[in-house]
Amino acid sequence: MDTFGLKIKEDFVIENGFVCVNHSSFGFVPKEVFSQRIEHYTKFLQNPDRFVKLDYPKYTAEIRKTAAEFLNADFNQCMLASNSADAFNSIIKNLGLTENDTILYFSIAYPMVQNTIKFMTTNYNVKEIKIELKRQHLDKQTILSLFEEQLKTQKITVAVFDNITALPSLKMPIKELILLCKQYNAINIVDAAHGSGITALDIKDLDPDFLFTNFNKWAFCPSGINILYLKEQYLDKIHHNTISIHYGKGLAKEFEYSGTKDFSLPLSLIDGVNFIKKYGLNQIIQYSLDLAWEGANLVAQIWQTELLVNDKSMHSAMVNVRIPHEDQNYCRECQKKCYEKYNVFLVVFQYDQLNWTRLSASLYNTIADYEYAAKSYLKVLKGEE
Amino acid sequence: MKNFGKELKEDFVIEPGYTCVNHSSFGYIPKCVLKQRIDNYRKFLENPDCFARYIIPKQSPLVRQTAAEFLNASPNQCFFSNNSAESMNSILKNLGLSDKDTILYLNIAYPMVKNVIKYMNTNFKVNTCMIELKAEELKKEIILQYIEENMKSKKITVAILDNISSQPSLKLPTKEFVELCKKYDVISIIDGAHGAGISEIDLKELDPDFFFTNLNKWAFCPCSVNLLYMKEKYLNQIHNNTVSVFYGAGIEKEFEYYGTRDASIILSVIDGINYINSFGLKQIIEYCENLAWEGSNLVAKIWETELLAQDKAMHSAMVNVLVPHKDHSYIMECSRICYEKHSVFVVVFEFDGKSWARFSATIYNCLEDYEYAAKSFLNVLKKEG
Repeated sequence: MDTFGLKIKEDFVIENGFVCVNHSSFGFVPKEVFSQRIEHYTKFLQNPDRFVKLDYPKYTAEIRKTAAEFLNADFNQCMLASNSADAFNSIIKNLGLTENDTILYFSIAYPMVQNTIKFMTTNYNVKEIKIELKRQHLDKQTILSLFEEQLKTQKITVAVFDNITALPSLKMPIKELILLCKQYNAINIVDAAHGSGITALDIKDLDPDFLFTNFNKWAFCPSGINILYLKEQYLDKIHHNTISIHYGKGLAKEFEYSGTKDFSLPLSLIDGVNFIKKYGLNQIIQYSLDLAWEGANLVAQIWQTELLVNDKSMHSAMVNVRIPHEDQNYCRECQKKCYEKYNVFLVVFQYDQLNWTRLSASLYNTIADYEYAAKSYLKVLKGEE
Repeated sequence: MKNFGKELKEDFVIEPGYTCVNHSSFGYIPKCVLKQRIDNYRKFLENPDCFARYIIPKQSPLVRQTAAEFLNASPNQCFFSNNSAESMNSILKNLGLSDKDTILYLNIAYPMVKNVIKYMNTNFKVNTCMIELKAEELKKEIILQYIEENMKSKKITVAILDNISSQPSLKLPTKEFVELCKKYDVISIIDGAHGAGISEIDLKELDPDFFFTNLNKWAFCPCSVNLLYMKEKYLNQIHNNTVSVFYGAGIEKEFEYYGTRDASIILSVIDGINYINSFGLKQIIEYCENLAWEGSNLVAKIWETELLAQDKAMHSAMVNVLVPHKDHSYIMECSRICYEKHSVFVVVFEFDGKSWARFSATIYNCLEDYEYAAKSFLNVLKKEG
């Protein structure tokens, strides 16, 4: 696609000279979204009394409506959260779980999710079952069969799983996972931190109990915007994790105001979604997916290593490549050196006893970025800088 | 160096034509702080990975050091959160309170605090004891007497007191309160939401168990940043209310990162404190307290009503004046109309069966502002414009 790549990179707020192959941890924003952000922010700071008391209730309705439309969900069931931690803490701590309940999750769940589950087991004696996914299990059928096995043999109260995992990054079969949960009467929570803007999420079609998704990772919003979706039956049960002035006044009000913050930030959700609409979600996804795959394969070639998983359909716009070195600490040191010397930052993580990088692709990326990243990092690894 | 008052107003980010007599709900910031803020923010957005990994770990200790010094506390006992709600939730939910414990607080405590206490009562059956203060009891000796009476006659586990209450706004005897808590072996929590920048806070001298304060209300930091202080003995007990990736890795890490958000805002803490130091905290406090007192007395004269409390020593830079009308809904409506018609927002609230207005004064305010606010509001009340 001609519109994407180098040409569009100048439309983004990216540090001069920085080669970005990790779009997805925090997200990078278009210049137009940034300038609108500063406008909203200045308006808020100029008169926060007016902004918060008069304008904000109108804005939140508009923001939630935009998000609901974008995710094909009901407006009343979409709440404005700050981030996934906010959303997940609010859900899991308010399900009334006790020692009679069991939470099911995968070993590749995000650390925040795993820690919150640990919090529940420590403080409420809730039981937990972690499905260990090693390299050999990373295919759709195996994941589903391991999941179903647990649902069948254990009494699972609630199951949590990613839409797209973080480290390592894989697209999970959420439609089937949700159906399995329904079949075995387990509450399902979809961690779609990676979701909006990089998958075509259709909540009415998926019909999960809970789903939360960041708008800053792939939907071109600045950090700090997340939408929590929940089924109607939970609206009276869930509370925001932070008790504040609207406690007990209804979930929407609790999420609208859970303490003073920058109330202008959520407005950027509308700007981010408009940006996506300008280019078309499917076009964006296609470009990003294909480039991530192509780029990662090029990296694997240059490094003479391999991808973690060879099936393109198991991936979104993030792909994992094995780093040609055994020492994790050394790989991390090289990560820092590589940034300092070559102005490119590679995500480095350990999985199943090997070291990996995860490469992301967005609209402003080109194949040259991955060649540059691969060669730079390799030089550092070999001590050739 | 400009003088306090009208000429300073142009140095602030305030909506043109807006008369601000409510500086304190959210805070208004100097233009120089905003400029720096946007610079920092852009740097964060341009390269969030590196900002979060390399810049913040270097800058964050300096910010904590500056804030801790400003409050005369040890940096290792000071942590940043987004707001008072997060701080209060983190404290109260982690004290291990049960049905054997009792929380003592005043009826003039902030609604968020009351709701967190209600939450503890509902979910953990913690006992609560609220001291009901009427208008004529808003005196230092009476307040302390009631507090001591309750501590003497009941087994109180933890007591909460505002540094400066919100609505109605009064300066409360925190030093004597902490001493009483020590005498009766009660955990002391001071809600210093209104604190930094408008009180001379010396935490080493005050020596409470817990203290939290907003840096955006009076310390010229953008909305919003909160500092949570605790005695060393609690460092291993308290957890961030939001469980995230650093859960269990120590309270310092838990508060450093607990979900994606704008990592650059805390840098503004230094800018706000520097701004205060450029004038001198004592000088600022003196100007603001005197003006709030003078301004509110002028309002009371114009309205032909009275102040809620007659003792200037019971006030900070916020003073409460009786509104000359009995219907509170009507008064709320007038507050909105007054903003729309006269570009001045008057905070109104109910207390002890009457309606009151709270006026704040800061360094860009002058007496004219209160005359204007009083006359405008009166016109609206009387439906004369």
